[in-house]
Amino acid sequence: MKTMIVVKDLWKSYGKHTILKGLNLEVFEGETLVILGRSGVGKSVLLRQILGLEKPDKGFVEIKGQRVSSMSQHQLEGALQNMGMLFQSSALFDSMSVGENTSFYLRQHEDLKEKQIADRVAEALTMVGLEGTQNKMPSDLSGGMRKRAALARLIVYRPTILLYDEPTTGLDPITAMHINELINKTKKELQATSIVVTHDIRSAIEVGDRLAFHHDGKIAQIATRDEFFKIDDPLLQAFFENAILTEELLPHRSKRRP
Amino acid sequence: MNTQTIKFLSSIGNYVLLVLGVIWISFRRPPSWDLVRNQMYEIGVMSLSVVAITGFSTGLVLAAQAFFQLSDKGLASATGLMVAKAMLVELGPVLTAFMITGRVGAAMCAELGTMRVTEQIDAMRSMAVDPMRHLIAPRFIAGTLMLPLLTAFSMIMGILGGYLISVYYYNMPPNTFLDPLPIHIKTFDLVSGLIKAFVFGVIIVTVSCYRGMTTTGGAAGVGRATTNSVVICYCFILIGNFFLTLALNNSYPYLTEFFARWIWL
Repeated sequence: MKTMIVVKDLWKSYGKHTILKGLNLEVFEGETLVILGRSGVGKSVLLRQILGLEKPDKGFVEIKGQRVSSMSQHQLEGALQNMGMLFQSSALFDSMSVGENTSFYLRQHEDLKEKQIADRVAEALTMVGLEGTQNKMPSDLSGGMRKRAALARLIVYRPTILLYDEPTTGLDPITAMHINELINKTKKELQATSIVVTHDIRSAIEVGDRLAFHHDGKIAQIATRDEFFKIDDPLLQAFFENAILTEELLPHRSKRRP
Repeated sequence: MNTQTIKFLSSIGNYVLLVLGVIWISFRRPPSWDLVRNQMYEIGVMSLSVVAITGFSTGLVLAAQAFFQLSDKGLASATGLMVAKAMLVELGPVLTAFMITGRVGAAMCAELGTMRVTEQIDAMRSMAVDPMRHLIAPRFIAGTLMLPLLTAFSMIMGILGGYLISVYYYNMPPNTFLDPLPIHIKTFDLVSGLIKAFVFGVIIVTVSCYRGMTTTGGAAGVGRATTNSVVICYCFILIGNFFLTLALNNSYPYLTEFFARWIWL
């Protein structure tokens, strides 16, 4: 399988806190890699490094063989046109309507007529189930709708690499399930390589082809979805035993569990 | 060197880089006209009323005080000249800059700060859009163009206020107020006021944008950054005004010669 993203010996500190401590990772073309880990271990920092939003202290990230940290501004902008990130806070531009948010990339980078832009925006919003919301402001939307609008803003320009930062955090289980479905649908439609950072195990199982466990600034474990849960690592076991326990506390859920 | 000193020096360095960066981008890769026009409207047109009130009331007070203080010494005829000179070289530029800092600079810092802490700036960068070009450059171009225009408007309003109170309240003959103006007001006075306004425009926009773009710490951080940016702007304007006044007054002969040769006098 072709390697799309390579992260090699990546180090990053903020003040006295070292967040990434020699992290290594390979992501293959067309796969969805889920990175699990506790809050604050630097999962989002890793995504920011891959996007080139921050420079590493040591080590590098390569996208399709090109080193991100040594790209010029022009090269980085070129590389970013094939990448997209769904931010934890959705990061919709709150001074713009949903339609303007969704058309933002097209207006900046593509020479299209108003009709074509409107069609692409409508198509993207329909795909995420937000048809007809073009004129709504982000402040009028619920958390789940904001996530979906942010996803529409990404898929409208059809990036081939998608990064998701805690896509289901703070959402109710039904909305989280819809977001997971959308991540799978987007992957299928765009044939995209995706990295999903989360601490939601249910989401990881539903969207991941391979799962990785981020601990203490490094990738501690990485395996395919089926093999991941068989790994005999006390830290990892503790991580998902606690998550599964929460669900088993609900009596009717544990009865239905096969 | 301790951490605080390094932090202070690095923020000065980053501020200078932002100023140089925005000047470079404004000339080499100018932002779209739509963005600049929106900012011109926001900074210029929307500030007209507040600048008018400031200029007009300052002119009223200046004339009232000048007439009251000077009339018993037989110098009442200097009222017009005093109002006009003060409005042109000092009060017009400084008071307009203060009002724009409060109305526009604070809003600019709060808007960019909020965008920063809610990851909107990162989202923009992740879509291959440079925030320096898309957010800061339009504000910079509009701010540096609008400040001199607003200042000119404030000067006119100030002189008008002074004229109205002198003529209609103190019953001064209109000619006594107006006649000395063309004789004693030089191109230098007007130009030095406008140069000051231009520099204040640069200060307001760059300080507000810099503090906005470096905001951390959520909503409380935005509040802190905004207050901080307004205080820094006021200090920079006042200190800058002193040095500008010295520099402009010392270059009076050269500037006058320049105007005489190249513009008019």
